[in-house]
Amino acid sequence: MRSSILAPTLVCAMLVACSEPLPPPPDPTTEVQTDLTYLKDAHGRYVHVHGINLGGSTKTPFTAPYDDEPEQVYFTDLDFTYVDRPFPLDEADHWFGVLNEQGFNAVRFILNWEGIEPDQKGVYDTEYLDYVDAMVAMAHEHDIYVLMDMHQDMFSRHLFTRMNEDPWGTAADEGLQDMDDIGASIMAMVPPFTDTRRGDGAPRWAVQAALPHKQMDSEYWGEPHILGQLDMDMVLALVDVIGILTGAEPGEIEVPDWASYVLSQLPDRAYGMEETTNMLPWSMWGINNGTSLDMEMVWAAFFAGNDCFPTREIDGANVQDYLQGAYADAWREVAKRVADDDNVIGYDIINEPNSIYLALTLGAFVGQTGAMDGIEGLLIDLLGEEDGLAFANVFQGLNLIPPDAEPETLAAWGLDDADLMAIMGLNYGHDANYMEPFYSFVGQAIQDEDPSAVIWIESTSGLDLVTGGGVGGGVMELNMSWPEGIDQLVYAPHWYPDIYPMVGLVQEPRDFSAEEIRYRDYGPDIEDVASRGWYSLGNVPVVFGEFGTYYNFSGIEASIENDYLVSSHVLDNYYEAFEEQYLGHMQWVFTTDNSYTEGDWWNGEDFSVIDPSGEPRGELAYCRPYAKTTAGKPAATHFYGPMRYYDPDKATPDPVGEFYVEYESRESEAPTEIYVPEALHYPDGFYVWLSDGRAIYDPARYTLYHYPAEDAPGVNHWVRLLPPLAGQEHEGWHYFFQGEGMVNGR
Amino acid sequence: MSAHRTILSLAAMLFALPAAAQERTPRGPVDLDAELLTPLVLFNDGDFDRTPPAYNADKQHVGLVGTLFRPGVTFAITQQLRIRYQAEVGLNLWSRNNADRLDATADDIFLLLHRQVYAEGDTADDRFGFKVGYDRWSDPTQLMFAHWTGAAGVRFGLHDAELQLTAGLLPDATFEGWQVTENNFTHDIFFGQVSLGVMESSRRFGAVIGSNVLADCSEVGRPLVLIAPHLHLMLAIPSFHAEPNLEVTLDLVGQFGTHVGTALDGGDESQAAWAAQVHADARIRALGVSINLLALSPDDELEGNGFNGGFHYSGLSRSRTLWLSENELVDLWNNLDERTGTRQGGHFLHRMGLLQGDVRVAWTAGPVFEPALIVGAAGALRPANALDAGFIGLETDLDLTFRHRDVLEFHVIGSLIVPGGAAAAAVNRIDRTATDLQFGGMTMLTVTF
Repeated sequence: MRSSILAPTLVCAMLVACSEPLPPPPDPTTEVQTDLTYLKDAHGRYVHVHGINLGGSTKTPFTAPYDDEPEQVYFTDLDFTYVDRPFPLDEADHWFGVLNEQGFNAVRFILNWEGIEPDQKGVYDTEYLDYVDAMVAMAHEHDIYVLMDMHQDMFSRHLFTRMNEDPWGTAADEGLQDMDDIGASIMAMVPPFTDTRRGDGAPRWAVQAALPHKQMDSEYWGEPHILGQLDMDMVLALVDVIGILTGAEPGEIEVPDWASYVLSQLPDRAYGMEETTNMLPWSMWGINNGTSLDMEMVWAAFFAGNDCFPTREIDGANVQDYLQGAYADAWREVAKRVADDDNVIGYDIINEPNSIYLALTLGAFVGQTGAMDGIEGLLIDLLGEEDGLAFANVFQGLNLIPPDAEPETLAAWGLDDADLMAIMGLNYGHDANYMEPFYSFVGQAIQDEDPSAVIWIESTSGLDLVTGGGVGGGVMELNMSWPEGIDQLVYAPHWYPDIYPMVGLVQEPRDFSAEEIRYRDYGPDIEDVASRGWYSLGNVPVVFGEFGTYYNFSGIEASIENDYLVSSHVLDNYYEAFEEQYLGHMQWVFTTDNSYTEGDWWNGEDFSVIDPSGEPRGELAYCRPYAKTTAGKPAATHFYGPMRYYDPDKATPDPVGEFYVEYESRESEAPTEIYVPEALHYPDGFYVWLSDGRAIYDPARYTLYHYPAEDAPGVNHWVRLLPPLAGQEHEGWHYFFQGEGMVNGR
Repeated sequence: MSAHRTILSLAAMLFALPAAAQERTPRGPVDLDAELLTPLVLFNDGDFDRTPPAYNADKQHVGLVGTLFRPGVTFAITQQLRIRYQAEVGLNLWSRNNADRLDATADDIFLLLHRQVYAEGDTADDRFGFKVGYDRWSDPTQLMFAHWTGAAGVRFGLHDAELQLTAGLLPDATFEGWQVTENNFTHDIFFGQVSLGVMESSRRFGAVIGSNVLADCSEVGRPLVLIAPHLHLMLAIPSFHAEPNLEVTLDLVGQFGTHVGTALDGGDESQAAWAAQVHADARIRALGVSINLLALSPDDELEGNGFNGGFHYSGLSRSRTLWLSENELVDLWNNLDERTGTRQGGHFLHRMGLLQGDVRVAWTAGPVFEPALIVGAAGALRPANALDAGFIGLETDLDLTFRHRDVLEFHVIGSLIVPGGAAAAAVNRIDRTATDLQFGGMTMLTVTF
């Protein structure tokens, strides 16, 4: 009997020769939940976030057609929408495909409060929410996780200051002589205005609620505040001050041409602080967080209105409750739409909240205590009556601090209802006192709509940016801890190295050499930043929500010419540091409408990993193999890319292209998935060594699947990849993959 | 005695039982035997790529000289019951192993292997026999099982037929230990075999039909289960002399089963593979000729698609080549039929497949000297799984054998290997496309007691 079936079966086996198509792998984007210090998917695998922010121009609304006239968007309140930000839905299949090909397994999807609730509290843009929902679904089709990020910088795009971004050009056009850096800085604040430094995030009505004293409809809204009171008397006062500082005799100071030009460009009439913002067009825009009283006042109202502005009410509610309630409700609308999407990896409650309150504290102190009189007296005592008064007049005239403590003045500065002691208290323990309850409040609102939501939070940008300091701060530490009522928490800090323009108003992009950058070790700083999540938040998962680099160091032309070498080194330093500590990360940023002249269309930033034609730049650094998921607890990983600093050893070729990942005992039946950018780093194929088990490579998905075999406790598994290297004998490998070709090793 | 030897011969012919001791009647209650081998191997390279590595103190030449010692003892407790033990002390590389070393855990001490530890017996009428212990166990074709392993087998003599039942465990890294309170057989590699052998009364035709079973549980949660029906046919054609001058064997093995959870989608991978081998030994006066043709089925072009057509190969064929297939003089695992596959459990999985043919012609010049010429060629049945290269290689060897009675044998072998792209793809360590010639030689001194 057996022999009668043997022949047919053998024949069948011989006939089975045609290739069956590869089946889809286990869904790589199943619902992610936290497990102690890790993120795990529904297969029980550990998820390593290798993501990117999407995208840079989302900070401004979309106008169609989007042209090279950003002023149209910046200076007017035309009808706007955030639909099609970061890119239109009909382009989503292409761009998510590009992201998948470049190895990003997650995006931090930039939302705007203004986009959700643009015109008035409680009225939502359902078209935008539909668009967001569709984009999340499209990302899932490309195996990409989505972190919903309610983005903001400097609170709102309606807080801005106008600027002339090219005063040197204007000077040349006007034939001005003796132009210097001081002149350029001052000319940057007078017409012709060609650009702005502005925030993003909150809708206009929210700004008005936080700054009820402001006349946002004023024709001078956004014009530099120091020009508001600048008239000939003030100019003469300035000349007096310069004379005092330089020791020049009256009449000796020559007024340069540019000063005359500035005077010719002064506003038609004087305007007070209530008609504009007190921001300045710093090249490094974030300086406004520490110098703008308006900026700090909106944050004080938003986070601590009940304490700092106890009588500031809208619709019967304190400004804090009014704004936070609206903010939480906006989040609810988002959560309702995406709660069922398994690829939503979490909700990043607020981007880079600010907690620097120096300007507000100083303004409130001077205004409410009448200290200006004291300051004036101090200046007179120090400099004599004439010189002291000159200095005092300049301080007052430039709107740097409230000129006096009169009720009208305080009302114009929004300080009449301020609680000075509460404002002073903002400077200590802000995160513990205000961020922790804020995250609790908003996070629970999200959880109401999505009970399995993972809440992502970060610390505020506070004084430690300036003062340094570590995690705790010593015996007087007051740390933010796990927000009450939040079930799942991820700490998502941001960190950027010293790459921003220098302090000033017309600073050029920084100028670095590759040698200056390539050996920098970002590890200690990144570890210090990440440690807050371990130190006081209960050892929650840490994923860096932002990091990145300018792509226009030394000017965009120079960067293009050297193939973005400096930027690539910056990024490689980041990634090596992240790998060393096995930390998740999301790079800033992927901007599909990046421009060589406008960058990412916001504040002169140019961080996009793709250029205006959509081609990757610096990809040798960021497009690198990594384990998207591991079947066991991640233990170690590295990739030695071509940007790495090599210290050659005798007889050992540099292991360019070596990737290694190690993980602990297997906890999932599903395979470890490793992204392999074969075309970029392994054009001649790659070898695979395994600790155990087997591996399958699917070039169509750029993914190597490792199925470990051993299951004993304490058994670590590892995978190592190397390309063929000149002069390097490879032995003991298990597989060699090249496209769809594969040969077995030992 | 006559019946006993008949059964042993039948078993040896049909079931490919390897142990030499089984074919030798013990010389007394305690029968000592020993074998000492001293190979010298030297080749121009270990692969087919002469690209110089960045640094190699030994250049690219590869080779070794060392000594193996295999003492054995058979205790014939009764005429029907025996205990066998054989150890292997080696491979003692002359340039490495240090007899002055007193540290038993050091890397450079002599290696002691316990190769054979088993008991066997049979009834006086040879209608029943058993064997339990550790030995090299094979299936009748040897293509799927030819492993050093522990097993228990029984055989039943049925007139001119014999039924064998065997079950055992292949060595693997996931054994659980000795805890008697726990299941220690969760992640082991089990095999079983049932075979029925028949031989025509004149012993000119014999056949074995049966099936192997493999349950490889070493990959946790992903067991591989194979049912492997096999057929072994033997045809002996007599000459004018007493011994047959032509003996032809045919081996067919199918492998069917499932590998759980190893497809790309986490689903099961079905297995359907085959192996076929034809072998002929002929002797015409002083001329001995051996011809072998071996084929192992390939996988399709996609690994992980839920189907595997690659054969799980023992690594042992009847080929007489020294480098394309296992070198029976000294197995250094440099044979290409293993290097073109990958280890899976206790087997070599061949995704590129294998088709190999070879011939060995030997001339017995006298009792002392026998020169032989070996020529073989191999190719991949699925070039797509060998980076689109189909030719594995051509091997030619000249084997000069010198003998002194049955106790001393000395080989001098010269070899030339013309590699193909498939071998280069699988073996090379720098340039995966280089097919530089490989040549070298080997001497082997064997002293047997």
